[in-house]
Amino acid sequence: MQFKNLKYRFKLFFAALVILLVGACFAAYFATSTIRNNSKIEDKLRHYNTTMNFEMQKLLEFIEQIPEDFAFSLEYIRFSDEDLKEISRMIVSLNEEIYGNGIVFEPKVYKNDSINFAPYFYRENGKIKSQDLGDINYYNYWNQDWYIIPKKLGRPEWIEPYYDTVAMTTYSVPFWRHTEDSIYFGGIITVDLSLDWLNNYVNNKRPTPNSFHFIVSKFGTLITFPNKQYMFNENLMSLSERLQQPVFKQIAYDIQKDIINTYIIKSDTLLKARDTKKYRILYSKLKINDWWLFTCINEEELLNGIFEK
Amino acid sequence: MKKFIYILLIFFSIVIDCNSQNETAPLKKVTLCTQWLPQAQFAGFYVAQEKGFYSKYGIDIRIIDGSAFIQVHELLESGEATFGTMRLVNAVQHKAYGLDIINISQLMSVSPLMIIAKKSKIKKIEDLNGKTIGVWEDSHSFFKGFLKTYKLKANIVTMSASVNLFLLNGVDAMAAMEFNEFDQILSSGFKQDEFTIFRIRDLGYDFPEDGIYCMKEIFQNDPELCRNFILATYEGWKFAFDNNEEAIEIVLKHIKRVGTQANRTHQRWMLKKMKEYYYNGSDLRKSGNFSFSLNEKKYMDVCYFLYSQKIIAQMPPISSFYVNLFKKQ
Repeated sequence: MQFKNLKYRFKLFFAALVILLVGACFAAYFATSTIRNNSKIEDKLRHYNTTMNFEMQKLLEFIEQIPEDFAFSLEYIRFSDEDLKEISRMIVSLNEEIYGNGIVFEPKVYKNDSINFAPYFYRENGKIKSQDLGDINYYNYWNQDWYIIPKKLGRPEWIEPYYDTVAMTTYSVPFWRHTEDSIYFGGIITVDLSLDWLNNYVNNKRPTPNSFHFIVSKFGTLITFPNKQYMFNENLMSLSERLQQPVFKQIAYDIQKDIINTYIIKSDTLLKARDTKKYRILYSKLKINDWWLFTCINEEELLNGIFEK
Repeated sequence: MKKFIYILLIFFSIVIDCNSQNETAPLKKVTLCTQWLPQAQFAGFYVAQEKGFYSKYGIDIRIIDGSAFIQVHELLESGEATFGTMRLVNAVQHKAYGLDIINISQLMSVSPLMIIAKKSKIKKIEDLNGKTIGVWEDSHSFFKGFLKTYKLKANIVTMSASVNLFLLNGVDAMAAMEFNEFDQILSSGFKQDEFTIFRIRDLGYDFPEDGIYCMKEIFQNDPELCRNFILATYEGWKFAFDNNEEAIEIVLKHIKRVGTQANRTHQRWMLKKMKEYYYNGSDLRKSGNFSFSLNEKKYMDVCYFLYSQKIIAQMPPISSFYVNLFKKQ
């Protein structure tokens, strides 16, 4: 009887051991597969963000070069009125990325009799149009951010998004005039990027159909976003309130301190999706101008291998 | 049944009566110029227009948005605007320089003005000595005078309507409105404890801000129009404070009309602050109302400040500057 009981106990023990081992194997498989998936998602996320970051910096570098080169020429060469206007017109017409260009002299610097010489060329309905920013009845350019900021800082600066005929951001480059015995502040050369154009550019680079990139300015304004209504109007703080995602508020503080992190959020409002999607978010700094590039990856799509062609 | 017919008859007689009144008294056309672009600072006006409060008081209103290029006092003088909103400190200067305007209602009875600086650079008011302060183009004289009374020598520079020059360290401190720029700074990703804040009202200069003005001639020719305009505006503000979200929607509609940044969170903050200023400065706050009246002592403080700083050569007496349209006889 005792022997029988022992045999039964041994069988029970053996069965339990087998179940335990099988369970452990499943758990280990599940754990390694989750880790593998996580690591795959992280790798892909980092890859998409780095690639886009590189591409954006290349684009911005190209844009920066245009007014910088011209500013250098303006420091030494005295162009005629007509030449300056023609150069401005060509900067816009030859570069589809650029919405507008202004060659804006410090009041009374260009000529003694010309108080405000400030030709501006811009796009409208496929045509290049011009405007005189020096007309004081309509504009006081010397009080605008794109003029004051680079003048006071004495260096080129990307201006926070603003509205002026269209929502835009401006790269403003100051220039100085050199004479035989002095150097003095000459004015500002600007190139404007329309946020609509930039938004289209960024939104056409989606990693997967429901994944996307978006750009945030140095002080947190959404420069691009898949939901166009948020672009320019929202910042990370208000986005946090609007989408009920506290993580964006944290990011708003983090980017001011150069803290970079990865976050996971669940949202049905990021892309107006019908069902709740799990997104993994990574952001990196565009070192060229201190903007921030966010990449939001839809995990499900990434794991299922649905990539944008 | 008889009772029902009787009620119907009364109802229709009221409707017919109202219609006939409307026919006999066409709406009076007025134009209001706000001192800045659409934002919740002017919510009461937009709401009163949208909800038909102006029509109720026999007024057909058109609102012109002020800006750096559209100055309220110029439009009042030229007759392009019937009414306009202005900061008290600016309106007193225009009056002293000879523009015959009159304040028919003081909306904001406390000062939301502040100087804000990064705590790492400035901790107390004396630290402003030798520093650069960014102020708006129309506020140079006020800040020069303010600094003089505190015996401070700071470099005052003109900044745009944004907070970017300050955030980029182009200036050490900047003038800010608590309801506007202050929130813009915080929503750029900063915490309040990173800044030193000097509230001008706590430093002995609690100057009332926005008021409603018209040329004296307009008031003399049609005081009833002025009265009705204020009554409708009052209802607009009351509705806005009691129905925040609906008011914000109306404000956002106007912001989108001009294309500036339509940020709901910021406009919510602004309307909340407006409510605080309107009720806080009111003598009638206990009854849940706000007064829309100009406090004589505060007015004299503004005049004396401008006069002592030689910004104005004479102090306009309050009797020529302000009229209380609702004073009990």
